[in-house]
Amino acid sequence: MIHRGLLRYRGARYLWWSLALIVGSCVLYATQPRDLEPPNGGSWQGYVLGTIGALLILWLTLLSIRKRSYRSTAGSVQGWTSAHVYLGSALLIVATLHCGLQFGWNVHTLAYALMCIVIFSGFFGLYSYINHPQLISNNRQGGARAELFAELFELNKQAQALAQKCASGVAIAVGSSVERTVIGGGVYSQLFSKDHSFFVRDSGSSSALLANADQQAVIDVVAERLPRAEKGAEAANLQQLIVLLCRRQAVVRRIRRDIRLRGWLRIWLYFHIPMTVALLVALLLHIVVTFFYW
Amino acid sequence: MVYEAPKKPGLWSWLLFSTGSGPGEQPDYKPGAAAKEKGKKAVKCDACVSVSGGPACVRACPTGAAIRIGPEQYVDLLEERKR
Repeated sequence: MIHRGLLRYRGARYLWWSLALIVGSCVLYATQPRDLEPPNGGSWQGYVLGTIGALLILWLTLLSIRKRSYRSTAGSVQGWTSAHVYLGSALLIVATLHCGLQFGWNVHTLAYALMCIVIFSGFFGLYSYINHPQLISNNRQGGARAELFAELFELNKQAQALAQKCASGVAIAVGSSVERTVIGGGVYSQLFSKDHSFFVRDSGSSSALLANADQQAVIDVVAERLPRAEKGAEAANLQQLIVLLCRRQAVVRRIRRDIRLRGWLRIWLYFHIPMTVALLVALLLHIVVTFFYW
Repeated sequence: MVYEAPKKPGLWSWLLFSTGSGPGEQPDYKPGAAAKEKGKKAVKCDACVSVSGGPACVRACPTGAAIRIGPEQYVDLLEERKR
């Protein structure tokens, strides 16, 4: 095995580090005297746990500096990321033991909640970094997204040229479906592959703009025309057109899937980073407020 | 063949004051008179010979997707892929 994922970096060295950290934190928690008040952040053990947690948070944010310092020789970024994942997960336990499960509507719990959001968005990021690259390259079958678009444009051109040789209703439906195919869109549309495409259905006397989700409706229109084809040549053209439209549908589906997978691969960072900044502010407030009311 | 690029600003001045091009970004610059005087220079990957610790691209890859291997390891990699 030449390639190693970041979870198995150096035989999962940082997994053992984080397990040691968790065991140490549990020991500290268990040694708190329980005669006066339940375990909390105010005993010396609580302060130690809190200091470890705050330093961990600061160190975890340093990954963003390290990964941009390309010339740095302070370890490999893969090692840093591996440690970031394992120690960041351990932080969940450290901070929970520090607060002693005492929650309230205050800045302390706010910091805890922000930390949980950051960690769980990180879990999602880890999941997508492990799973999605394989899915993306399978979906593209080794090519680039630009190749999929090139194939789509070629099919568009062929389908439009062929539709011109068929009945006018078919030509209008195919031409308008190509023009009104929508790919991408807003965040929601990208992440859930929503198709807001349309096409024009022209019946000679009237025409209507109809939804063309998944490019299926326009294929149905062409297929409906097939039994009523006038000449032998039109039937052959319509069959050829259906083949082209189905290939086009498959390419559009693949592009949408590519956009969706890439979207999920990136969306978590749009939570992870701003929430980290908010966490740093809340953490600073938590520390200042704690000593102010001491 | 390129002209010599001006020195990049530090990471913090890029982060806080957005001076210069960021890490990994193409530097956006016009070569100055001094750089033009010096002439163009051939640019080719030298696997970071001057940097201790090996190629920076491998050390900067967070997921371990970039690896540097010798020809004999490459054969192993292909056989592993086939399995």
